[in-house]
Amino acid sequence: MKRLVASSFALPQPLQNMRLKATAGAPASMEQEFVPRFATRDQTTAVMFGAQAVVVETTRHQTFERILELVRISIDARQKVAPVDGLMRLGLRYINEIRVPDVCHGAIGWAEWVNGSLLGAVTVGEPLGLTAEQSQGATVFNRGSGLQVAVQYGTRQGFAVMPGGPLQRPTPPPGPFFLIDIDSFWSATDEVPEFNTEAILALCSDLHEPVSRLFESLITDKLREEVLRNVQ
Amino acid sequence: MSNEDSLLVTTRGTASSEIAPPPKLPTATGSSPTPSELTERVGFLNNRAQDLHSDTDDLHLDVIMQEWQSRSTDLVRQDMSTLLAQLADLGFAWRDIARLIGVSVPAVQKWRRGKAATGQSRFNAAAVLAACALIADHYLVKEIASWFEVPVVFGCPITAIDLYAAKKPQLVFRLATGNADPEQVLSVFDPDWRETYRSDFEVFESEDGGLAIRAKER
Amino acid sequence: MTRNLEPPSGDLDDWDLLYLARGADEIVGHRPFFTGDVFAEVPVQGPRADLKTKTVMVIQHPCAMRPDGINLSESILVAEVHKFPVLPPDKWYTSGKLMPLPDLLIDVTSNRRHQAAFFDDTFHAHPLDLKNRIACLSPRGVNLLLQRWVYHSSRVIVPSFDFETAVSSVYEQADIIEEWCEIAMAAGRAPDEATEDAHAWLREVESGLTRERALQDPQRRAVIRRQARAAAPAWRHRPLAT
Repeated sequence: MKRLVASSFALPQPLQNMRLKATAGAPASMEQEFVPRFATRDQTTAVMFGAQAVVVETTRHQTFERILELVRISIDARQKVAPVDGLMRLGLRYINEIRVPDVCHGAIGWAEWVNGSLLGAVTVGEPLGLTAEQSQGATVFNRGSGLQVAVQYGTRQGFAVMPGGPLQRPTPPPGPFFLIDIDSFWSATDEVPEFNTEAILALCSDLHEPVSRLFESLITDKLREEVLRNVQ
Repeated sequence: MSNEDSLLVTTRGTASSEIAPPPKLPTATGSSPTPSELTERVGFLNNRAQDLHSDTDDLHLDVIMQEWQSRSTDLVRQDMSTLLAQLADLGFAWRDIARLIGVSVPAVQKWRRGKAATGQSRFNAAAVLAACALIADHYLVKEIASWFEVPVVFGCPITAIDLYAAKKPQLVFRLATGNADPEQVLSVFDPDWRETYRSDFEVFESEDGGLAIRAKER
Repeated sequence: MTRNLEPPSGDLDDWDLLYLARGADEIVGHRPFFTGDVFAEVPVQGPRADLKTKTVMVIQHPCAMRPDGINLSESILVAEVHKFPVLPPDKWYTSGKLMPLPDLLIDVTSNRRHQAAFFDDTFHAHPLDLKNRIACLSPRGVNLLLQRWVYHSSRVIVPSFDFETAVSSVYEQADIIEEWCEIAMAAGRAPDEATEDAHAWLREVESGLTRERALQDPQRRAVIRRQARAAAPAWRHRPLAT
């Protein structure tokens, strides 16, 4: 496996999992397993080959085409080493921690930066003298044929993804941010298709299609111009 | 859909093992936490225990990060000039304070003269102070500014200030615990640090008492 | 590892890293003169040439600028500064005859905002002619300047982190003196007197070493800074006349 992914994932970094096994009538036991995991040299991107899933993750997203290429390399490697018979679920998840220079007057302050629809009852409460402290929401869009997009959003503090993990990421101070978490996924409904590289890549592209349009619609021009254009 | 069901899928969904759950909403009037709320948090913790490496240091770091967040949120209630004064009282240089907050030295000077700072900048300053307090309190570091300024490994100029300013506070906290190997921490920060900072020159004290540079003996 | 002249920050064009202060709003008048300071409207005269007025940068090592450690030499080595296009980070290993100063003139919107100090065009200036300071370099900027100046003078490349180790204590002194003056002046002291007090305080011996020498140890700097901040309002080199 190492040789097959080395061109993109040069560092083997197996994950050690501890599983608690509890069976009725027997004492609980701990099982240790090592999950193959490989990372890029800068440790911002990695692929993990679990028993039930192949996960490609990055904290340094550049282009979708790059992700697609990494998925291709990962799937091809998996099929060469331990072929998978079928695909049950495929998902693309984009977790955005939106941090801005200033958010005035509590949750309502985010109205300058994100689409008002993400603020729910906040804007309704404001003219009634009710100042929102926090606001969370979720929406699931059904695209048919097993395709769905789940969006979670809301005001948060700290981090959406804990920074102590194996992937390196720039870690800002744990202050207020707005979460826009977009999970575009497909799950098998009637038939479980073959685990086929080209079909998977085509499905990835299909899953990706609404994501950036959705994200752009959920943010304001102010965020786009004053914050996102300046991110290095 | 019943009241118990929730659209808040939180940790379920694509590749969700490291994702923090949303904050708990206040308990509804006349009800104890719903089973789904309890399950959510326990499930999250269970997933963490099962799916992450068993390295207790990682869980410890998560706890530190939570405490860092909590302390920062408390400190940010103070105004910027008070925060800056406290950082100066610890002994930091103003240009290091600027680096740690992520701004220019002139910006810090303007704040010291009374110009208003953005909420984010104030939070960033509070976060630096919180990090210092956390490290000093938990790991008994007496001279915290010195601790930040001194090279992590002898012979390599990288300091905790460099790590923090590069947005790697988790590495700073790992160092502070005393459990992490400083050289390993540097390797995470810069895998090539040994080569990057290898020099054919050395700094020495010259006859006039000042520091000078000369080629190393072979 | 092959050593080359270094860019400010890897492959990032973050030119702000080079500067401590730029422009009238940011320059602090009582900060001691230091390597890398840029002055406008300085009268200079080349060999067998007419007197001209130029923008210049101090390129002399900070210790060489002050032969007795306190007072400026009457002849400060400076290099002419004029317009020069931005050198991208991957080209900083070239143009060893100059120190690039991208975004030096922050109030200018044309390409004239980008300048460089040219090591082939050097002069000696009297400190009293250095009146209009328009920029100060950061420690990173000073280290890169010294690296390039040494390369130009001797064709030797010394890593910038070695300059950092050698020069950082002197930079700390400049910072401490600047802040001392700020605090002392707020307490009613005249600038020249505050500067004299700061130098004298730094030369006091504590635990067998002057504070100035103690700054060479990074572990002692925070303590000395705190002490300076506490002493500046009232400490006097010469007692006030009664």
